[in-house]
Amino acid sequence: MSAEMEMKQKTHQIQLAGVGGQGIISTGRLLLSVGQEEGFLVKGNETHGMSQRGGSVVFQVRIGNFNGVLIPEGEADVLLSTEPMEAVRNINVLKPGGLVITETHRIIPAISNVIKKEYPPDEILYETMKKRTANIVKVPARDIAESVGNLRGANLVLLGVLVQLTDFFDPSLVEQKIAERWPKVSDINLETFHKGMEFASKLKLQ
Amino acid sequence: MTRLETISSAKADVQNHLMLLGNEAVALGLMDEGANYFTGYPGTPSTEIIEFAIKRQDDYGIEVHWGTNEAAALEDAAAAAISGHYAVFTAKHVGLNVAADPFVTLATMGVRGGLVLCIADDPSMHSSQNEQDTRWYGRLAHVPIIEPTSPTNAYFWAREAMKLSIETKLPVILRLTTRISHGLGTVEELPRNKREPLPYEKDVSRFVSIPANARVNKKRLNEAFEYTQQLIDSPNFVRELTYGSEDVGVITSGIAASYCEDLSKKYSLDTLVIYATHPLPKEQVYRFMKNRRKILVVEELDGVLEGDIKRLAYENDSDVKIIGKEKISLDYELKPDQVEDAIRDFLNLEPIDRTLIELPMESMLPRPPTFCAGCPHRAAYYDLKRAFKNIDTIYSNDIGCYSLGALPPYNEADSILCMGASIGMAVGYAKANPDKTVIATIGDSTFWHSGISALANAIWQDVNLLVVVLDNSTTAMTGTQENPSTHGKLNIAKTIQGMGIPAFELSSFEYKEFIDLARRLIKLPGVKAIISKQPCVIYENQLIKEEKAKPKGYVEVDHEKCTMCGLCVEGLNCTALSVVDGKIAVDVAQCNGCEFCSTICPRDAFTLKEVA
Ligand code: SF4
Ligand code: SF4
Repeated sequence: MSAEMEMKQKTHQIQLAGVGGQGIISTGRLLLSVGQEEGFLVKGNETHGMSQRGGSVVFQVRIGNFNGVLIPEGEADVLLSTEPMEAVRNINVLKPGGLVITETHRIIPAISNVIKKEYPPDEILYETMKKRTANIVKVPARDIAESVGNLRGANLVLLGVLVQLTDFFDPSLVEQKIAERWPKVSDINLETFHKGMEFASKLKLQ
Repeated sequence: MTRLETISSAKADVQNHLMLLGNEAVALGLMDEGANYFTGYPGTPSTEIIEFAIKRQDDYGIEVHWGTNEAAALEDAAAAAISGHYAVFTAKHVGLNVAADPFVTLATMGVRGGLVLCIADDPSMHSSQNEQDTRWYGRLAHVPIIEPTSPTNAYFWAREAMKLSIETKLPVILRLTTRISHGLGTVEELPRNKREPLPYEKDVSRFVSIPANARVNKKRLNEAFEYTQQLIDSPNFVRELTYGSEDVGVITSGIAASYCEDLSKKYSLDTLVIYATHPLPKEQVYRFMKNRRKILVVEELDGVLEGDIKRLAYENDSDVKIIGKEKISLDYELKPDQVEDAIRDFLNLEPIDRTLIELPMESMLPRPPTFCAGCPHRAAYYDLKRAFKNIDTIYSNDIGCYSLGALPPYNEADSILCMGASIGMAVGYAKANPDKTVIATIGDSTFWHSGISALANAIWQDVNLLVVVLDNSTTAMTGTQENPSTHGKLNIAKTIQGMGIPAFELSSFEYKEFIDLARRLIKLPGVKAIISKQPCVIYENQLIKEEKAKPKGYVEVDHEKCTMCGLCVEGLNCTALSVVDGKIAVDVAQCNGCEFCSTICPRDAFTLKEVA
């Protein structure tokens, strides 16, 4: 089997999680298009309908020789979450020792004001994640995105972190797809993405 | 190219394929197979079929439109197909209930052109009120069913479904489920098959279903079904994966088949995937199972195939052991892990230890869907709750975004049954509970769908009832599709006034006026209506994005003025508002500047900041 063929047999499974309206679907679709461009078979699935209205949403990315669109529990290589409590809600999809990349900014469900229950403290959230893996990367993605004036760009910061920390995706291909997907705002979106990569590269140096 | 998954590692191949949702693949497949007439009613998870056809409408030169409800849409598609066109009807599973009347009789007449019914089931009820299994409808009406197993081959099987309908002159169900409809995969587009519609031909004996003709049609249906049985009993409608497990095997279909395909290699398990699941391709299935000792049938939802296969074994005096629903869940969608567990059990292998992390549920918060920030429905429920504070009410609610009024803090739903039932049930509530005040809440699309006929009944029965139509002028739940209220084509207030009862149009954001009106109306006898008219905020944001409207901005809170009374966060519960460090905080990324919080704040603490 040639090296080329072997490469194509590799598989990557990534679960994106977050809250409806945070750009989960566009990020997931972008990853699928990058995988496809690299010559892999890709499969994905996304949340539609009711939950899109501010509820928990997930998007699953499967790159490689899969027929099914769902990632079995405990098999995702990466869990990328745009909200810390949603990372916990989805932790079981991650394989033991897999990589968690999570936004640190919380989105407090409006219901908490009604049921009079506080958002869980960080220790509880991160302790739970740690039971699955030690590889947890916390990213102040929203702050980073806002620092370049991209109010809704946290998903792109996290994408930058993912691309930097794994060798799943060719950064220049990701850039190309970002520019294609958001032609009107490609400059600021690329800048936001690069901020994420930069954040992650500093992590590596530590 | 075959119906098989294109499992290819050649770079050039995959790159040139399209990346599509299963629903989009279905639409494209049908258009490429010559379908020229699309209609349906929006419903998750089926909506994107028509949406995709709308996008390609001009390119293909085809007719595409939404209908007011599934029965009207199917009758519309049926007439096109009887006229000689190649028609497509789309609906979610429960939508076929609405269209069941035309559907069952249409099968007996058949069509002259072609007709594919794309029906999408929602196992696990991600966005539905039940999880009925559409495959029973094929059996009820003697209509063939084709089931793709992935978004990728949905393209191919949609084309095959149209071909089968044209060949058999029967309507054909293309049965989809959430993970196929909303799964994404690469699709290889094949050459288009241009089909000319047949010229119209009158055929009274066939299409006028009076008893004398209906008796003939019944025989016609039986013959057409028999012919279908012969057609699909070919290796083309199944796929056999052979790994040498001579003694045992798996038979599967639909999305479950994709999980089996991923596992059968791992477990060296011979597997038969069935794409034409009604009528059962008997010879193919029997050939696969006859020399085996045990068969595992893996299917999502009901044990429909299992029953057919057991019957087939009985007919052939076979003593092969057929295992199905006793090992595979009847409820909810199947997960690949469940399928693997069932296969291991079937092969007498040790169960896999799937140690899952226990989530700290006592600390976690739920995150149910909510009304969007700035949603006029939230304001309407806020108004109604305050208008009828000390009154013993029954809220008869309906299906749409506004079903969320059932959740706290609004709690304004005593029941939600099906499309249009808010008004339909209100009649019974009013008659059975004369001491209570009955309020029906219903959206614009649902009003036109089936609320209107129920309203005629309520007026006729002369019950005391307040109907509140939450008219945001779009079918919002499924992603803002058009309906008769969009662009003001039809006006609900005028329609209801024309039925002879009082009906007033008012925005739910007009808090005081709304409450006054509701209190005034409730004192009147008979049926009366408020049309709470205010556009959907998602729809408005789409216009802003397309630069057809100006964003309103966002609100800021004056903490000096605020007394933390809680009305805005607890009572209104706008998602853009929260309490941070004991103070009201506005999430500016979410706030849509509707200013309703400002209207209801007793301290006038909010001010709108316009964006440049
Ligand atoms: S103006 Fe007030 S009620 Fe309206 S979206 Fe903003 S915070 Fe919510
Ligand atoms: S309604 Fe006004 S006073 Fe009451 S908590 Fe909200 S901002 Fe403060």
